Amino acid sequence: MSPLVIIIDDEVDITTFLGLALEDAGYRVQTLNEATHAMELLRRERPDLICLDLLMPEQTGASLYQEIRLDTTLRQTPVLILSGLNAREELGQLLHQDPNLEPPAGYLEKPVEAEAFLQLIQQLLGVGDTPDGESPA
Amino acid sequence: MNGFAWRDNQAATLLEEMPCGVVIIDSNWCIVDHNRAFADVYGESVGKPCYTVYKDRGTPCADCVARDTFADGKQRILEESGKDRHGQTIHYLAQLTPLSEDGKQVTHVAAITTDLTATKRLQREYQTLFEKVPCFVTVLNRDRRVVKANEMFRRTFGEPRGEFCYRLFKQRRTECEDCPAAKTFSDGLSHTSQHIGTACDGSPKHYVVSTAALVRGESDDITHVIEMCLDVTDMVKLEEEKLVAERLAAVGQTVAGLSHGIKNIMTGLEGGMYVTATGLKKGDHSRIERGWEMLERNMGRISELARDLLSFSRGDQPNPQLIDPAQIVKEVTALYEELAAQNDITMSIQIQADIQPASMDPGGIHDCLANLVSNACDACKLTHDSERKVTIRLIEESTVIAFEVSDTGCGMDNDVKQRAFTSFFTTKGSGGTGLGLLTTRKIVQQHGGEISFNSTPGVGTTFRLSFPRKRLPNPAAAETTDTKGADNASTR
Repeated sequence: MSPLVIIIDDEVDITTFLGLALEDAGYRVQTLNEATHAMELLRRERPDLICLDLLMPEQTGASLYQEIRLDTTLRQTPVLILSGLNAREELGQLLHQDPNLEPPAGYLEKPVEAEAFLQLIQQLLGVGDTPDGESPA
Repeated sequence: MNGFAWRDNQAATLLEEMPCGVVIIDSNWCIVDHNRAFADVYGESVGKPCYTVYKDRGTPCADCVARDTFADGKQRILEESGKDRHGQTIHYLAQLTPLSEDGKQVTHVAAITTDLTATKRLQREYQTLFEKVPCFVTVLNRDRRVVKANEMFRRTFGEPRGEFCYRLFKQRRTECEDCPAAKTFSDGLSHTSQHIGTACDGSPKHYVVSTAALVRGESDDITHVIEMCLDVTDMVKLEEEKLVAERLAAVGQTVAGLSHGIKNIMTGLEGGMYVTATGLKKGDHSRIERGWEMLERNMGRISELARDLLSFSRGDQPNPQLIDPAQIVKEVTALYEELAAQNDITMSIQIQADIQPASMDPGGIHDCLANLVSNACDACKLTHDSERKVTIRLIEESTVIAFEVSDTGCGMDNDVKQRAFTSFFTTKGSGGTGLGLLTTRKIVQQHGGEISFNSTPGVGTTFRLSFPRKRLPNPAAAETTDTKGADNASTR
């Protein structure tokens, strides 16, 4: 079965874009546009990789990331942080506030290009090629 | 007293019991009799010279006033100081009365002394306090002339020389319209207000003045008022510097945030292009349409961002007019009623009665309130609770007008709270540009007001716009206007 990626971003256009790009590359995808019920979905689906936006209503990606890292079932799941802000700076602040927090597997600053995104996903999942071997558009 | 020939029994008792010192001196300055109160202070003194007892001297005083009374038979009152029986300095008021056995020749002088030591000490303490207190302190008469001023006042505004207070404080030719001293002369109560004066070196002085009735005349009318002024110039300067620093910081945030906003839109456009391109490649019309919609939506966001940015950057100065704040609340509520109903949100307003017109930019305040109500509705839309409420309140406490917008929406966590006033920060995804609260804060600050909020995740948020009346800008037009201007301004 191809790897499952869950994308959490409050911007519908971004989840649509990245979701389709991943599906086109043969991944299984689920998307979520709010953070409130994210933990339920993640625990239930146990994805192979999580793409997480840093800035969302109700609960920010940063606090959700902390929650994921503390969860026994999700602790090992690689997380790719997406950010419209300065991702390095944002992550630096987050890790400074919580020195015990493990850094995310990767981060990507918006704007995101499909090709670069898919390459990073491959790299993080440790697969040699996209699941269906099709290169993105 | 029992050694003096003129007293009868009743007089002796009376003199003995008097609460002030009474002493009889003969023409050789010898004390021939005194009462108990005198002895309490100076000790048993009969037979001793008065100058020894009063002044601890060995010879008569050169300026002896009793000598004059012996000479002309006239009564005298004088203020003196000397030593008591313990060698302590005391101050006293002495009344010298001539006594005569034959009604012609003054043979003795009676001195009645009242101890003024405690009064003198209080006077000295009052004087030190008056002079050294780190405030400008003046005493005004009914003509508003400064009859007394303390050291700090004299150093800052110059010697008063009986000049009018408004001339000394503000270099004005006429009395100030909101003179707190005039109010105290009129009602006897204390009044406090903030003013800007001009020091003798020409520099502006900001001070908060408090007045109090100081002296009353025979018919209980106030003859003098004391003004105590706290110099807040440094505080005002710091406030101004803080405002400048905040504005500079806001510029920095704006530049950084602009990049963030554009990056999000670019991702949307990138996505639109990807979906359209792959749709064309696959011959999938539905996907092409989807991609095209994404492109259109994000192009629209660019327009929206440009418009909000323009709104934020322009209109540096508000256009204040005397308006009824309640009217703005009603107009904004009416504007959002339909949207609220569509989303099952109950809107209610609570307006305190008798709030007087205030000098505000109707368009600006309308925009601020509309932005808060819009945010409150959005927050409610994010909850799954059945009870969705937005409440708008207008209150005035201690001359501070406050607009409050409360919602039972999703609330904010600490991270969101910290970023609430960061430009281009939005939690609404493609639904907002993140400039709303920043623009609101700018307008509120231009009115001398403050914006604050309380929020609990999952419970709701209350935003409060507070406007102290004394800090509101002066109205551009003197007459009260209706808030129709708000309709125009809502498109600012």
